[in-house]
Amino acid sequence: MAQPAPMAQPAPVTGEQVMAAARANEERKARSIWLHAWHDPVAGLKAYSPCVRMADISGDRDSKLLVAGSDRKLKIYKGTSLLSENVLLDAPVSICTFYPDANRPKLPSVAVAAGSNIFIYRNLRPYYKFPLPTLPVSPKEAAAWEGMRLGRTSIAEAKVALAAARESGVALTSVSQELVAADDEASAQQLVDEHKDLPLIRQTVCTCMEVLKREMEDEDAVSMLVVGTESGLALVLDPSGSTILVNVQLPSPPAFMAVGGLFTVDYRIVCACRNGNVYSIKNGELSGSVIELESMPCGLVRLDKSILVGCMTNVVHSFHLKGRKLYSIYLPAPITCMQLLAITKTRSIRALLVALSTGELRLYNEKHVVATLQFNEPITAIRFGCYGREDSALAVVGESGALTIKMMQRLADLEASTTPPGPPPEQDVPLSIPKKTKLYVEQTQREREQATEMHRVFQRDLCKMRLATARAYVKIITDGQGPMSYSAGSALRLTAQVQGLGPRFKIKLELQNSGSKVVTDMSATFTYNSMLYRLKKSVFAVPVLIPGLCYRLDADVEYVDENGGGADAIRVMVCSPKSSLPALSAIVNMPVSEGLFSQY
Amino acid sequence: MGLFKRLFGQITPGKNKVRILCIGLDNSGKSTVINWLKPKKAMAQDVVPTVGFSVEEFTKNGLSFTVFDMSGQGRYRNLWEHYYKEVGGIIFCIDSTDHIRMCVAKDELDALLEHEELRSVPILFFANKMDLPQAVGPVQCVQNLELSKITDKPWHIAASNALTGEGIDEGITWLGTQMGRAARAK
Ligand SMILES: Nc1nc2c(ncn2[C@@H]2O[C@H](COP(=O)(O)OP(=O)(O)OP(=O)(O)O)[C@@H](O)[C@H]2O)c(=O)[nH]1
Ligand SMILES: [Mg+2]
Repeated sequence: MAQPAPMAQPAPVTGEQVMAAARANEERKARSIWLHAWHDPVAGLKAYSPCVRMADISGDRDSKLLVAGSDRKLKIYKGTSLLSENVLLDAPVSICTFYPDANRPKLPSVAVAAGSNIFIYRNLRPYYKFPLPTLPVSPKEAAAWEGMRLGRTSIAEAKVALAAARESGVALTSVSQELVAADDEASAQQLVDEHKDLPLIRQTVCTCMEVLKREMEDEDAVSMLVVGTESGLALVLDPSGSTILVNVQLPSPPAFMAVGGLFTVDYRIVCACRNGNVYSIKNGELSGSVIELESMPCGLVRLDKSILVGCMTNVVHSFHLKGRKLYSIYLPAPITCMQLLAITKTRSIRALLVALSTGELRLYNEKHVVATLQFNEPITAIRFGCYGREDSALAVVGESGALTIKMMQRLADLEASTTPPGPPPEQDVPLSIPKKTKLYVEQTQREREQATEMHRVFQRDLCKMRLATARAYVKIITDGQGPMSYSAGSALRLTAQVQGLGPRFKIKLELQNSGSKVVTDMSATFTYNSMLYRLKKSVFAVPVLIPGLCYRLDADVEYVDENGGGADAIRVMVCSPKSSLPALSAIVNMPVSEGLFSQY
Repeated sequence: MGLFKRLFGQITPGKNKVRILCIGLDNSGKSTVINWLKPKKAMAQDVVPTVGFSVEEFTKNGLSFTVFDMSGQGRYRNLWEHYYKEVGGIIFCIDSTDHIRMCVAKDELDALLEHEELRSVPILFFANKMDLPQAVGPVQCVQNLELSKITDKPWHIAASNALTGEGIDEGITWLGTQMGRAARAK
């Protein structure tokens, strides 16, 4: 038979080298890029990402953390301590800081969007309130109230008219809605008395708010607020926050906005709306390209030329600003927050932070995970920015209200290329395959040709062995032939030992109950060749065997054959009165007795 | 100045160039510490954040004493390691009021300690700004930065107030002794 061709030469790298490189790579990954700065488990914050921002609000280059909680409290943290706490008039939806003018010292104003107003704070004091524009009141509704004011229609009639108007698709003012919903006459009467002489106002509420720079990219350049409303408006306010400069009607209320560019040069507002579409406003005009999502958006981040939209179906889609789809990131759990991670000062990095409902926080560079961080509760808010004097700080608010601050290592490796996707490194390790000898080849040949027969023989032998084993086992447990007994639910163990040279011997028995139940009324006896041996006492009563204890029995044996030099086996049996078979037995092979010096 | 006499008295004459590196995070008070060490007339009234680094040279008793005052700002921290060569001693300033950035200080320190060129170079830590109420003591600093894990080089920590010079004498005296010992051993 021809010798098979020699094996291909293994690759020049050895297995150790490959594994060492993989291990080094893994170690570097394992060392987290996040430094733990501070954790306050009882901060008691209730906030979502838009309500958590970092800003240098006192102008001392020591950036603060602002948290507008849904418990209507504006908390400001400096370092590891709470600097101040203000009460808000309404539950906030977003908090932003912006620079209203270029005057020095440059101090940002804080804007809190809550209900139908935007509250602006300067130096941590309420400064100005911007009410969102009111909406037109439908003529049907106005007529109903006019009728009530003049006493021409009763309250009940007006209620019916208003309900009918609502049915036909008219958006009612909040007062009318309250009136329709009022179920007893007294409260309806009171409501009408209070409101019939006031002008009807239909208000909208704020849904999101971001900041747009006016003419310079600088961190402290003059900036303006961009506000999204429940009525589907996107508003751009002037830097003082008192007048509306741009007003764009969207087909649906925006839930998330991402703002980029400069107002006086070129800007774009991307809005992820409640109808599941993403619209884009370019320089004040609603652009024609619409991105239709397969499910509701739950997060929006803009990276340079692309936008990332998180969806309720556990996926993040990346689109080019013009609407072309780039890639998708599929996640193992629902997304709870999404945030941009941007480092500009020491190096230029823009990456995506995604928090999952499992408490995992992932950092994606493009579509590659470059770091993960596990929290022991779901995250409700994340914000990355400058905190204290650190430029790359991360604030995380957990579901329990805990606040965690992490800081990114200065030299953290965020390159996606360090994790090459594909097979694990073990695959490149060459296996140490032995040389193919002639014997090996012949064996293989035989195995190939007579496989069926070999298998059959093997199976038969295996069956035989199993049968032999089973038989031996059955014999042991039923016959009491072994030194162990498991009958009657107890487990006994017997060991026997012979001492002496002869003609007198001593057989030492050790009986142990290794079960858990007490065994009673046992007896140990010996059967022996009475021509050779004589026992002083051949039956020992064992009244009780307590589990765990070791019972010793000593039997004196005398060798009595006058010829001497002989030996025989003595059988020891432990019997119970309940069974005709011994519970256990052992054979003691007696040694050859020394010469007999009998006195008889 | 008695302090300098003390410092240089312990360094063997002949080897008359002593290089000291002053590092630490930004705003920790490095420049203020060095300013206080300068002779009275050379002292600056106002210390501003350092850009890049600055070199201060003092000559005393025929010895020249070079201190590299590095900037602690994130974007300049990668300069530090370029000045580790032939360093006789290191002063590491810790802003003991900046609790939130202790982890960053520790991270930078760990990188420094791993450096081959600084093996057995004495390190003096200043737990600076001890006058401020939020300041933590040197014991807490040792704990936060895990200084007790340093085994391959002599180190010492002193609480200091760089504005009044309190505690600086003590630290510098220690550093002088250590550098003198190292110089004699050469
Ligand atoms: N209260 C107090 N303030 C101090 C102390 N030391 C320094 N400062 C102040 O801290 C600020 C920063 O000091 P610098 O010496 O400029 O800090 P630095 O470490 O040189 O900073 P960079 O050059 O940016 O790395 C200054 O305003 C000092 O006045 C101190 O011991 N106590
Ligand atoms: Mg300085």
